[in-house]
Amino acid sequence: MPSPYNLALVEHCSNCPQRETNGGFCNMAAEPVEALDSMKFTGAYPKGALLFVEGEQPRGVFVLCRGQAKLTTTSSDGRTLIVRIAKPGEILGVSAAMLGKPYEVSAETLEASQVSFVRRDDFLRLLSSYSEACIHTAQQLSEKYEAAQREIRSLGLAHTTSEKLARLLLNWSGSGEETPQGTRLQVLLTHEEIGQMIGTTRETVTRLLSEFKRKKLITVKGSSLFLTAKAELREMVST
Amino acid sequence: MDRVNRSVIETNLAGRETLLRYSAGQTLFREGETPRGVYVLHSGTVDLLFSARDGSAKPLREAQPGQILGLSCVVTQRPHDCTATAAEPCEVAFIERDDFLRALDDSPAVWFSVLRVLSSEVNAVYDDIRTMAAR
Repeated sequence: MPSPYNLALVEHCSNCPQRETNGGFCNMAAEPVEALDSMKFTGAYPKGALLFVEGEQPRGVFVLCRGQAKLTTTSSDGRTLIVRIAKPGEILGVSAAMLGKPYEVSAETLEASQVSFVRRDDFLRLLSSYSEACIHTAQQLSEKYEAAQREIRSLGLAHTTSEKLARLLLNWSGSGEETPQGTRLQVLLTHEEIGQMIGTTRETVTRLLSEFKRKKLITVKGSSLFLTAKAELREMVST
Repeated sequence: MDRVNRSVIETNLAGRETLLRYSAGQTLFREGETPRGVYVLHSGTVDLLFSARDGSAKPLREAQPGQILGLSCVVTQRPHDCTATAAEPCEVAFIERDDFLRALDDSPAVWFSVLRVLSSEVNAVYDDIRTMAAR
């Protein structure tokens, strides 16, 4: 029988091969991991699955085991903004679950993903039993806070849109792969979604990417994007 | 609820804090500095600023009495992401990082309050993003 969405589901955190790479919450000591194992519900989700929606009462937290998810919010004038791309090992919906307030963002998978759901009561019980779980949760909350703060800075500093796009590509290059043709980025986002990350329209993103191609800053092959002239991109950001 | 969480944290930090007084314009910590501890604002307001690339300071937020500054940086051990300057005369309780972390070890209940304060901070920044992104 084929596995759902071609994901070989790992049911138990204790024998998950991703544990160390995911780090933090996934890689706690044996006892808290066992406790987590006993309370979570693991499932496979296709690309485009909504895990939770902004404004919804928090049912619990979602641990992203494998895959990626975009976290979006709606600006006060009604536009969709991507505030963050969540990576494996991240706990989603924590602040809402901690406070018992509605989710501040929506979470949607960008590719087939494995996600473990933990009910709010169970999650709070895990925290009150294991300080290690608190430490990792605090770390994740602080990282979310700092990332959101960086987002504010880039909104507050009047960058041109091409500068914002260059900055985004350079940010991504950290997780890219070095090849003879340049740094290879696997881009899961559509032009529209890239626009939602840097606060512009789909049309502008398409136009700017063509301009970058023409200036030989990037090349595109299928879903791979190669950064061929990182120094020039950096110059666009620093001038 | 925030006030409750903050007072739980403060009660548990009693005895570990140093009371500091700042006059208007004095700096509590600077962007890029390694965090030395957390600052509980007792009275006065503090401007949180970040520097633009041209060197000018841009306002980020205004901290009010009761707020705890530097919490996320102490947890992640990353440099301060903004500069805190007293907007008016301020009274601040400063708790060194190690003392703060020890207080958490001693009383797991404080962890809950810290997590809730951090959660409210995350939500506040998301609120700012929604407002700032509106054209």
